[in-house]
Amino acid sequence: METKHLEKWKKEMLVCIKCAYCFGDCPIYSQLGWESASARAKMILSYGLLTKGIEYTDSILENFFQCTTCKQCELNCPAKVKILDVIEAARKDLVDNGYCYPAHKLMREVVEKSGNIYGEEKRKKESVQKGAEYALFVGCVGTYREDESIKRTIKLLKKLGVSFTRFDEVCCGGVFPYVGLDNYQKNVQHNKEEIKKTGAKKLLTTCPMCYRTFKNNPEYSDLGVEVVHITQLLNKLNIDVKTDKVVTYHDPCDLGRHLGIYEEPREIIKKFASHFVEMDKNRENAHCCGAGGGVRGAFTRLSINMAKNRLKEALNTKADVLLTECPSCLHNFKNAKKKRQRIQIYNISEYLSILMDRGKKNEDL
Amino acid sequence: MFEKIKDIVGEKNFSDNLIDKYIYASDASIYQSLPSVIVRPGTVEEIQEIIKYANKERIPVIPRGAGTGETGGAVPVDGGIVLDLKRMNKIKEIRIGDVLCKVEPGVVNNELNNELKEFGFFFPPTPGSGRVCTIGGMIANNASGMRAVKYGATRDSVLGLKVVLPQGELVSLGTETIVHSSGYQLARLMVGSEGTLGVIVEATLRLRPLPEKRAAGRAMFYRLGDVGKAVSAIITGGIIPSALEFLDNIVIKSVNEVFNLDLPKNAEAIVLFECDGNKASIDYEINKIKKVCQKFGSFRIDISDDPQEMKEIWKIRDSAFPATCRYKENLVRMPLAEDVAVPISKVSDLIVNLHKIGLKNNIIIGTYGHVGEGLVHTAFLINPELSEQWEKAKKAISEIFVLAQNLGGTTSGEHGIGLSKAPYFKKERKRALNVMRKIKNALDPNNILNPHKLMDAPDDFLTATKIRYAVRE
Repeated sequence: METKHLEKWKKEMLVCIKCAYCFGDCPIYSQLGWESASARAKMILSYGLLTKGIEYTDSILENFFQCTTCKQCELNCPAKVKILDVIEAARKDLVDNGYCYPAHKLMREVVEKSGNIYGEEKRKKESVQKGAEYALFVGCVGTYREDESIKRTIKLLKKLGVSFTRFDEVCCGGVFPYVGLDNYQKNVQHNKEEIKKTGAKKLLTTCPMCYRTFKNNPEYSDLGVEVVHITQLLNKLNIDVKTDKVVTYHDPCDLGRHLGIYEEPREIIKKFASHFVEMDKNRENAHCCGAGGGVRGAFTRLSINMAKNRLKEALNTKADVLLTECPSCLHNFKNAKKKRQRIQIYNISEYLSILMDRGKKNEDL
Repeated sequence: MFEKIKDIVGEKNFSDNLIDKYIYASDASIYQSLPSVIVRPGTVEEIQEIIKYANKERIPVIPRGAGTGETGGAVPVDGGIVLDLKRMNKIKEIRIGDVLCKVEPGVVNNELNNELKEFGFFFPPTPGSGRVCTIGGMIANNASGMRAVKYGATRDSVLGLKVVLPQGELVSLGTETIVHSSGYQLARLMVGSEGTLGVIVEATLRLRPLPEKRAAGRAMFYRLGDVGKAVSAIITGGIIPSALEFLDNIVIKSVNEVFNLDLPKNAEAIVLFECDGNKASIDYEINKIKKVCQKFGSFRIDISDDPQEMKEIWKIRDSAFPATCRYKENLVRMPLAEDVAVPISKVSDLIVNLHKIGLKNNIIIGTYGHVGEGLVHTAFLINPELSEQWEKAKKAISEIFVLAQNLGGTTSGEHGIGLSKAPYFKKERKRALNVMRKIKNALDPNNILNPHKLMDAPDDFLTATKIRYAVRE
């Protein structure tokens, strides 16, 4: 197998001293229990592939794609090994050699045809409101799987008087580099042009993955607008609602560990919820919901099981409401939730909108 | 052949998949040797059945915790069954009234301590791998760590063990009492036996109360030789710090370069110390350490009992590992000869001569470690893909072990022997090898438990198994 991408990261594989610190809190390892599921194993396998110590088998493909890229391993690593760069390189090499997960391949194909990862027909063409401060990018999961939540978010923005416009968005492509695939350049160009057409100076995203993509992906480096996540915006606005419910918060990996945004969501929540409780694992130690890194598409049951675990941690806090601000986390938690589990799950912006609709203090929520 | 084993643990806990075998072929050492199968038993009965079958069929069985060992102790030299014990991770009992707890072997050290914290107690051994290493592995290697200077090694906290012997018999060794003089100290025999005598399936551990408070300090020295003298004077001066560590100039330089810390470039070494107890005892001890450090030429001493400042003081120690990993672009750190220990009065000789060995062999060896226990870690920085680097390292390693033994020290202070230190261990313990082999033969006549380790390991550590790096001429 050709390993031109892995070659660049050889030093990282050698620096890994196999201490196994990466076992701790790895959501995949916690689920599967075999050392082979850990980041250490992926470093060993990467070096094995690179130096021809091991040949490709289908199990290798499965192994490398069973990672949500949640970054907990990198935080735990005492040698500060760039584990995710190695995993992404291995995934690229696998794909370049013709070994691609069918679910990811399909996702890439449907994005090309439909502009979204689900291959759904475009709901409606958004009209641009000229002169808006923000261009709002909702993303695939919000638009096609959590549209009720997004409707609430949009309602909230309007109610708070945020000057924003929708535009004809297509998939940002953020997931593709993480599953070893190239982004669909036509979509990148399309997004750039449509954002430019709005005349907005800032791009507002609801999805942390899209935020990360527009902010850090070199393909969007010439975007020419400031990229803002909705939690950063909401934290600056005056929020005049309250709830007595016990509320907890789940840090999305893309927002937290990848971008360091931990405080803004908490500051917003504390403005309207006087009973805020943290889960045992929070901020940089927050367990992953299992949705990221292409895992939900390729290993649905595993992904849901991770969400179930995280949900249990939320239930342990005795919270009435679990908040997050990520359509993917929200979607995974909703799929994982059992009917008898009474906890309510919302995005922060969605929950705020509901609170505003029902008055300043509402016991039914 | 392994169908019976699969039946015992169930398909979900059995693997003969090549990828799993490739991963369980290594631990944190330099070795790589594939097992035949890996099993993850969930009960003592399953372990007994596996062992009985393996003994009947003469299949090697290699018990394994988190695989954090640096000596190859969990590497299956002859293939066979790797017994991954991490599923057995229950804390069975915490009896504060008897200052003890009972745990399964797969319980992780830090997780146990998190539970004990609520009761105001702790399990003292603090190996660097404490976040992931298992109690079973710690016992099998007699692990220790930086607080051993005050609280001892794992052996000092093991009261009793339940062990499955190599023919499948389950035995209870030791007691639930703090002392016992009731016959052979068999629990202690199992501590440090590296999985060669039995499979530890339950441990009764002695607990200690968490101290009321801690304070820490760091003392900087111009001369490396003064560090050992200061440390000896501290230890013999009537106080027992809860940690007494040092770092040399190579480590200081790497920490400065990699993490942009601003430690004095002209310091040849830094001593880090910690005392625990109540305010009065801590003030007394810290002051005494300070005076000793000043007497032996320390040019700067920082002390604090503020948690944040203490974190800063310890930062250099925490950074030592990652920093030495990235000290030079083409060099990485190898786990070699990493934990020799000498009597306290010889620490100075050890530290100074370790550096001479590095210089003589033209190899970078950073030194740091639990110097209050007489233990020094050696960070070998080499390019592991070049055979000449291994040859150079091998020569330096040999000289390090001769040095330690000539100073009345030992081959391993806390990591164990496994494969990588066995040739030197055999020289150190040549008068004990016969009795060790007799014990092994009496308990394990078919030599199924972790064969080719300790006294039975090959004489050339570099060819004991395949090295896990792609080495070229």
